[in-house]
Amino acid sequence: MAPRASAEGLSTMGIWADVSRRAMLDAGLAPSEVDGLLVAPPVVDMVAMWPSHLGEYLDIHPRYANTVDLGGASAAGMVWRAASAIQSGLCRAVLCVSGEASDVETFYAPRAKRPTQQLPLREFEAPYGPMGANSGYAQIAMRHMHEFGTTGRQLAKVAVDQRTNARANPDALYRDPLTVDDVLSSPLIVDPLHLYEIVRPCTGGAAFVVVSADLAGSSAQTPAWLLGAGEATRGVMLAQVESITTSPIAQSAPLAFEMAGVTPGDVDLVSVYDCYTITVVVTLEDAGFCEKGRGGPFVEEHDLTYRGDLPLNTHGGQLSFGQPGLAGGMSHVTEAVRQLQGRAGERQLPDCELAFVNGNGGIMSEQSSLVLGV
Amino acid sequence: MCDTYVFYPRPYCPHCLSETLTWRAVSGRGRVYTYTVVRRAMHPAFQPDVPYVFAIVELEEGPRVETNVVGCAPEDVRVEMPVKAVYDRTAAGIALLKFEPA
Repeated sequence: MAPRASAEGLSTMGIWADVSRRAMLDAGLAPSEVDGLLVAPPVVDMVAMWPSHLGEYLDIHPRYANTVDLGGASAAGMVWRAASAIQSGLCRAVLCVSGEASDVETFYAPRAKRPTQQLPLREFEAPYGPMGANSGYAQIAMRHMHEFGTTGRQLAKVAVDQRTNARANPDALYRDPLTVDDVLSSPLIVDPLHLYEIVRPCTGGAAFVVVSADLAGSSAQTPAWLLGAGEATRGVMLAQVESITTSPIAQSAPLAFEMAGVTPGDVDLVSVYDCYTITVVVTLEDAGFCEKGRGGPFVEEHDLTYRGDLPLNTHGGQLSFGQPGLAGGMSHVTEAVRQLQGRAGERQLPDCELAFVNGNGGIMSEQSSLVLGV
Repeated sequence: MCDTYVFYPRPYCPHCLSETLTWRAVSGRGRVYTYTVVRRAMHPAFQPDVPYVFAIVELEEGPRVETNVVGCAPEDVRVEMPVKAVYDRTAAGIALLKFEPA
């Protein structure tokens, strides 16, 4: 579903039903053949038993059902969880769904309207005025600049190259031309991060189906295969982390590459979570595309557009495509699949056979890395 | 029982699982591990303070705390800057641990 700026006239359940139906049609599967269901919950709309509510709405009766909540890493996390349930023989076709009817207004609505959360964050962080995830990633960027000399221009290049990609994607929310100077002259929100390097909440959703090998032929599309997966997590509060400029991607990505039997140099597409420009820089370092601390010069030296030497987030990334809650992470999975299937339209890579996907949650807390290929 | 600082407080030591934990006074000295300047308030209570510094301070003794750096302009804050503890005694009777340049 193409993201929208406003939630007007839409509901979360309605979005889920819409993308679920389209995914099943695209996969050539009847609802009765779907016996697995994974849901990444909406951020603004917390209720229990989401998979059962959606299953009822879709009239699907899964043998495997779960809510997957790894924050933004939920989408990537659903891929290998579905695959392992299939491998265990529990089920054969797992529908994975995420999305929400949200916008900037509802995302930043007063916390008093949400259920009370008994978390250490409330006592040891909230009284000092954090700005949600924004201030955490800003603190990471500030320390990364101090430790490695990373510059604002280098961070801004990530947003700029991704905007070039978004301009070739009719579904992207933000498609106006963007330069490094535009990014750096946009208002500072949480130093050193400017407005145009911070993701903005929107409405949207996505779904995909993970199937056993014998069902791969049911779709008219080329199947994209899960070749490797790895996961690693740490806590959410940055003060509890030994080094904030590194992330659990340093564990999750090598696991995925090793399982797939490939290296970063073999990859045709990098499709990685980009809630902020710094997120991409740290990801490239920790996943092994460049040395630790060299992410700034690395993004400066490479062309990250769909026409470049290291295509990254060819759909525009969350920064330009949009982030509808936890479905922000869905777009990196669906874009990788589309590129591997040859369905990426104007932004299609000439020869895409291997993709690295990373899902990131919290303040670089939860990491789920995948290698997909055809 | 080990000799490790536990902060924020837990019901038991995460390292050795001992339930015997003791409060220990520390020097109050530390350095700014990282910080950001918040220029848009997420909650109306913080609006009067904008722009303000939201930081992580590493105490001399090792533990890190989330806090504010006060007593100087946000532009003057630097990573690794030496700081010392000050207390913001709020109207609610709670003292918030903040830091100012040392």
